[in-house]
Parts: sequence; structure tokens; C-alpha cells
Amino acid sequence: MIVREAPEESPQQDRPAGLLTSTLLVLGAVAVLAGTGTSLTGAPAGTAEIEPLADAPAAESGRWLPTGAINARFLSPRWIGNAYLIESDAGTMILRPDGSTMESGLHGLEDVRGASTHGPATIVFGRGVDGPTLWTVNRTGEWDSVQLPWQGSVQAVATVDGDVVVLGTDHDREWISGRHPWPDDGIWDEWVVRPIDPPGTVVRSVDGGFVARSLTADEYLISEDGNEWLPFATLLIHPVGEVAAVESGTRPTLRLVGDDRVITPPEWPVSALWRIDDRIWIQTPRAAWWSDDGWRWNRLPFDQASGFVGGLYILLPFSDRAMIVGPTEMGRRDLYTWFLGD
Amino acid sequence: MLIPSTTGRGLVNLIADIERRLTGSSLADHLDADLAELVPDGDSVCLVLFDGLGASQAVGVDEFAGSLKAVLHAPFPTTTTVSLASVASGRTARGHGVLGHLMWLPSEGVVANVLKFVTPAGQPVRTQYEAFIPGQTLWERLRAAGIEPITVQPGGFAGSPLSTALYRGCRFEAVWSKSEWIDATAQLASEPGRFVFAYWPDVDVAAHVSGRSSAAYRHAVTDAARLWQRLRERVAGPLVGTADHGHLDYRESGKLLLRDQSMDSLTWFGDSRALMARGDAAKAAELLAGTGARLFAAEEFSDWFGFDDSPHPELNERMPDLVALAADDTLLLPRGFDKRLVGYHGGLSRAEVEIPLLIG
Repeated sequence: MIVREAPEESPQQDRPAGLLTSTLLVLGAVAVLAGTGTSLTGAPAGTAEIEPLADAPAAESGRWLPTGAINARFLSPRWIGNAYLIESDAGTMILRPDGSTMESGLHGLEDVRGASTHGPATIVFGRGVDGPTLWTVNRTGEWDSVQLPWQGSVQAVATVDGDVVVLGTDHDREWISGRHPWPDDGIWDEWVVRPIDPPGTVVRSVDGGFVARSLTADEYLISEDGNEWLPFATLLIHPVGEVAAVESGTRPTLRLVGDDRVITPPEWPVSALWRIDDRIWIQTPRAAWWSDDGWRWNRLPFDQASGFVGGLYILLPFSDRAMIVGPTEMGRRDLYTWFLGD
Repeated sequence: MLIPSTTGRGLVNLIADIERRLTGSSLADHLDADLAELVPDGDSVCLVLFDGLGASQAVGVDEFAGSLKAVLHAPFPTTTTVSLASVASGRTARGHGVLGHLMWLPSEGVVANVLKFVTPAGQPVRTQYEAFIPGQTLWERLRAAGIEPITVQPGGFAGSPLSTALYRGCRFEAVWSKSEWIDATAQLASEPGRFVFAYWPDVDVAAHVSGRSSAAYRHAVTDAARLWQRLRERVAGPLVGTADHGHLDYRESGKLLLRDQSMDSLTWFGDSRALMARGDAAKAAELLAGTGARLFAAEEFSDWFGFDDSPHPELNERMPDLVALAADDTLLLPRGFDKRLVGYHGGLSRAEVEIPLLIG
């Protein structure tokens, strides 16, 4: 009773367990957003475009437009100022607003740990061929690498009183911090390195400091300087826009550090939150939303992106558009773009 | 055909053995003595589960070579949900009640893809996820005994219906990169009085999507092996590694699409390698004639789900009336089963059942 027939679309878009969703609840506490760096306006010299779009989308607003595809299982996107650094099957790539990807140009990179901003500049950090390394963009738009003065790891980088503060571990896996004024001349030779108490695990950079998970309890820790850590029971941590939020009353609200706006999300749960060029973005299970004041919201429903079948979306907001990434075929993630228009 | 052990050489027995060492008791049988002596004792235990890494797939990988001490059996059917439920409950499928990748849920009246809690048509299956594992979970029993259970998982799984069902009572540590996965696992396991369960999905994804002969699969296995090596360097206490099932590749010509209209008179679930049917078993056998599948009646396959003093309260209603094990090189694909993959599992071939026992 076997029927052999032409290929068809299975109604069950069943995928193995490895595809990421981003559905974390925003529940509590003080907070922060990843920064809004504006550099890196173009392709660093010497990099190659490897996945050009077959048809660049017209700048039409009001709906999701097919934009391209990425061969990737885990994106781990990191905002680096008008572009995202992503992990794809082809390695660490830059995803640009037009949906194209290009080689990162991060010379000597072995493993990206994260990215943070220092004013208008972006710092990417991770493991380089010669040890823990920072990468910054120089005046010609290329990445300069800065080898940190220890062997071991770099875990997080933040700006503290105008200085760059790096948390990491030395070759004996003892925790250390390195502090350096932002070098206008591009020379990093004034590091002050000292041991610190172990802050916890999974230490991450956020705008205005650091967050970590406690080693001893199921709670978050936050710190402005890497020295003093305060516990918070609930906190949203997302690889794109590290966020802490406040819950108040029966309707949760979010409060951002350094921002007077009280954010009242239109629906819950909120899985992620960004501030891009002073515009607030949130992601909920069925839509992306943006707001200029935190109260009036514009909805970009995911179900209008034809071809998407599950709820596994990654939202990537830019200055004038949003992109969503979702799995439509095994092992492939399709991109859709919504232009905000005038 | 290899009927998996659940009485001394199975994944569930490894979990029971670890639970017994940490708390003094367990619900399932612990490991046979020759296997138990391979597992070191310690204040904390770190267990790593590489999804889809069968024992035959770990053989010949340099980073695993010094650690591969023995072979265990994945539970039947050899699929992730059944194995993870065995870990989360420390019980056999008869006790935890998760009987397959696609399983019949009588209380909801639907076949559910338990990985995602959706129907084969993609509709959400709303049930009490928190209560899906009956009785106390392994995590709750550990916690009651003063042991802190922690699972380290890709962050995208946090809060999913399956995670809600499986990790009741367990601290869920979400990570977003390989380096975070290693750091969290090694650092959290360094505290005494803990059971850290680290889950890594990539090998399974690559094997499903691209197959065992692909570059993507080799890359995923190499990656997993390097993660294991890095954990060996950093975890001071007992470090144990295993998997939930193995994998096999299938040609398009081996994908048997079962599309007879009469199929609709029965309820089909399970896996394409171990197809299950509820309804008229004789009719099911008639429909599967010519597929080369081996058919088993309830009294033959009942023991495959193991033994438990307190079977799942809905077990009888969830059980199939017939199990069809696909012939070598073939898959049984009723409507709604995914036919787009390269790698599959769920059956009782040695490659699917045998999983590694890695000791760090």
C-alpha cells in the first residue's frame, strides 16, 4: 500500500531541536540596553561579499519583503552599529541592512565573545589567535585588533567613567579586570590590570556595566564597574539587546538606564528589547513593535511574512527598517525586511 | 534488532546510578556493576548529553578516544523526547509516559510532536506542560536531598513547552554561544552538591539536515568533541558524557510514503523508523504489507518501554496497538511525518540504540 508520489510540502514543518527561538520573559529589575553605535557605515576594506542578493528589495513599507537567506543554525547576532555580527555556518559574518552578508574582516578571530559600544565606537571582543583580543574600527573603516596584556580570556567589555573596562580570566583562570582610557591615538599601552573576585558565570556586557549569573544561586548579578555586584532575581538577558526591565503593578513596564521614557509594552511576554537611534523596539511572540515614546506602538506582525511556519523568529532592528530571520527550510534561515517608510 | 536494556545498561540506568550516588536512592535500576565501576564518585556530577551522537559516531574521533569507556542503550523509541524524559524523571518510558517523537495524547485527542508540542499540521497543543512528567522529577528529588540540579542549554530553549515539561524543579541556565556553554557548565559544576546536566544539540541537527557523510555533520562532531575536550580540561569532578540516540542516513528511494486513503481509519504516530498505530491492528498490518517492516503486537513490544512500579496514569491509552519497525534502509512515512531529512532515528538498529559512555 505504498504510494510513491512527487515531492510535496509536509504539513508538519518538523525541525530538530537545534533551532533557536527567542522567547524569554521580561520580568524584572533595573535596566539597560545595548548601545547605539553608529560607526561601521560600510564594508571594511579587504572584505568580500559572499552572499549577494539575487534581487535587492525595493524600499516598500508596510509589509515584510523577502530579502535573502543565511545558512546558519545559531545566529547569536550582536549589534555593532548599523549592522549585526552573526555566527553562520560560514563563520563570523556581518549582516548589513540590505540583508547581504560579508566576511567580518576581524583578522585573527577564533571565537567572538561579544560586542559593546564606547560612545560612537564599537568594540568586538573574543579569542584571537594570540589570546584575548579587542577589535575596534579605525578611521579607514577597517578593524584594528588589540591584544590584551594577559593570556586567558576576555568575557565582557564596558565603558566605566569614560574608560574601557575589560573583565576576563588569566592563564590560571583567575578573574582579572583591565582598565584603559579610550586612546584617541589608537595606542593601547596603558592597561591597569588587577585581580578581582569571581563575579559569577556567563558574564556579559551591557550599556553601563556588566551582568552575570550567580555561581551560587539562581539569580542575576549586575555591576556598573565590575567590582561591586548586586543581585537581581529576574532580569532579561538576550544576546542581541541585553536588557533589564522593571515590573510594576498589574501591567509590567520597562525602565531603561539613562532614559526618561517609561516603556509600556503593548503585549506580553516580551522576548527582547532594543534601543536603536533612540527608537525603542520590542519583540513579542507574534510581532515586532517600535515606538518613539514607549507608549504608542507600531506593529509589524510576523504572520505577514509568507513562508514562515513556526514561531522561531529573530528580530534584527536597524535605524530605518527591521529584519526578521526565521527557519523556512531545514538548515536555512530566510530573511524578511520591513521598511519603516516616511 | 537490539532491544534496549532498561535494567542495567540503559541511559535510564546511568541516571539512576548518578541519582543513587548523590541521594542514596533511585526509582529505576542502577547500572550493572561493570559499568558502574567506570563512573567516578564526587560531590558534584556533570553529565553532558550530545544529541544524536551514537556510539558508532563517537568511535574514531580523537577527542573522544580516551573517554569512550563503554556503550549504553538509548530507550525505545530511540528519540530525543523519550531519552530526555528518562533523564528528567530518572524513570523508564513506562513511568514518565513519553512514548515517542510523535505521540498520541488521549486527553487532548491529538497526535503531538512533543519536541514542539504542536500537531503534525503545526497547530499548538495546549496542555499542562508543567505536569507532563508525573510525580516528582529527578530534579525535585535531587533538590529534596540537598543537591542543586542545573541544566545548561541553548537559550532559545528557555521557556519552551518541552523545557517547561522536562525541567520542573531544575535551574535552567541559558547560554548563547559555545564559550558560554563551556564556561557555565565548568563553573557551575565546580560548586559541591550539584548535578549539572549540559545539553548540546548540534550533532543531531547536522545529521538530520545534511547526513553523516556531509561536511556539516563532520564539523558538528568535531565541534562537539572539542567542547568535550575543553570540559575535560576544566571540570575537576566527575564528568560523564553520553547521548540520546544514534543516527542513520537514508536515500530518497528508501522513503516509503504511506498515502493510502485507508490510512485515515487509524491513528499513526511514533517515528518513521518505529511507526506506531492505534486502531485495528489487522488493518494496520494490511496497510503496511509490502513495506518490509517487522510488525509487533502489544504483548511483544510492551516490555520495550521498560518497567516501573507506578506506570504513567494514561499509559494504556497512549500505548499503540501495533509497532512497525522499518526495514533497514527504509522509512515509514504516513502523511504528516517529515520526509525532507537525510538522517533519521527512532528504530532498534544497533546504530540507533547504542550510545557512548564517556568518562572525562
